[in-house]
Amino acid sequence: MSFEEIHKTYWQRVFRLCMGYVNDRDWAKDIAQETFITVWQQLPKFKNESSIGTWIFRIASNHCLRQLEKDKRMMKTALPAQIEEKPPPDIEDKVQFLYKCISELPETDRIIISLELEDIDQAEISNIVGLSESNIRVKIHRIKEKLTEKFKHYEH
Amino acid sequence: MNTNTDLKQLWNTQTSEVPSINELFKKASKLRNFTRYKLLIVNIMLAVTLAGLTIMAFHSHTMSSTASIGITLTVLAIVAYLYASNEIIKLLFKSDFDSSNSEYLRNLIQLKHKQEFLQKTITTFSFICLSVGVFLYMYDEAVQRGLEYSLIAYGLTGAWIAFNWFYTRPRTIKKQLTNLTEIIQKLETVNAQFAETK
Repeated sequence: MSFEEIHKTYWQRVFRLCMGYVNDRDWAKDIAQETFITVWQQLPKFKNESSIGTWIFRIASNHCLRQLEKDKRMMKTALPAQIEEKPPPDIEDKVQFLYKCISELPETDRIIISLELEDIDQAEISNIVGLSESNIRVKIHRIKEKLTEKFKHYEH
Repeated sequence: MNTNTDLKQLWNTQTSEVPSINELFKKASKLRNFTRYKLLIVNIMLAVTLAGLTIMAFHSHTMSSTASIGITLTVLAIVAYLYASNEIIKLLFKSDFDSSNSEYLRNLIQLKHKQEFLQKTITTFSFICLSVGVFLYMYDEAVQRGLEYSLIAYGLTGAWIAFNWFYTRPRTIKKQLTNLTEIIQKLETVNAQFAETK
């Protein structure tokens, strides 16, 4: 796969992972670009020990973690437990709410749920994150429960 | 609601315009040039200092041994400081992005501790070398000019060094390390998230 093809195929997926982590479009775009710069630099060294997707998501999630060094822009506002009487949220609102909820989870959970929502199988997530598959399974279950609960409050 | 489908559906709605490859390459070359420029500056300073040291060594027969040792220590202080800066820049741009998240985080913490050590130790080492170097360099001159002169010269230099040691040095170290300590704490908090589930 050439770099151009990789960039085209994976841009949206990497961007979403970064959005889930920081919930800020410009910032997410910066991290995604840094990810692809690393992919471009390291591509000649890539050995087919893992799939190219796993490799790219490892690089992307590590770039997300690197943001801990420049975390000043991160907004940590608490989510309202219950939304006051408002018209039912449209799809765009729900998307924003989902990304906001994810970006407020602990850092590792943000990466795990983003990868899960990208349809990456749990064995690969375990490989990317560095936790056992059973841990990943439990974590995904708990995070989804948490998100569903927040959506219940949000929608009603 | 069907959590799985709904969340995935919502998740996939988020898109961003794919930037052109050229934009990416421009950013890459900007980043690379920035690193190179920083390394270049530090290394030019290192080379100039070493050249200065060599020139002084050649002319050392005109100076007493205490003055030569004094100058050597002073230059050593500068070299040590530049060496540390060089190492720190290299550390900052070290890349092991294709390790797993937990491994990457562990390496990042180690790297930050190394940076912390370099900044703290080398700053102290440079101050000591610089102070002793200046004292030794002044020795001959002070002996030749008598007691009164020695007291004034060493008194003033001593006061200046004490000011640097007790005021400037702790402030420099504190300033450099506060930010670093905060980062290490944040990294360790996230690292603990991995440990909790193991």
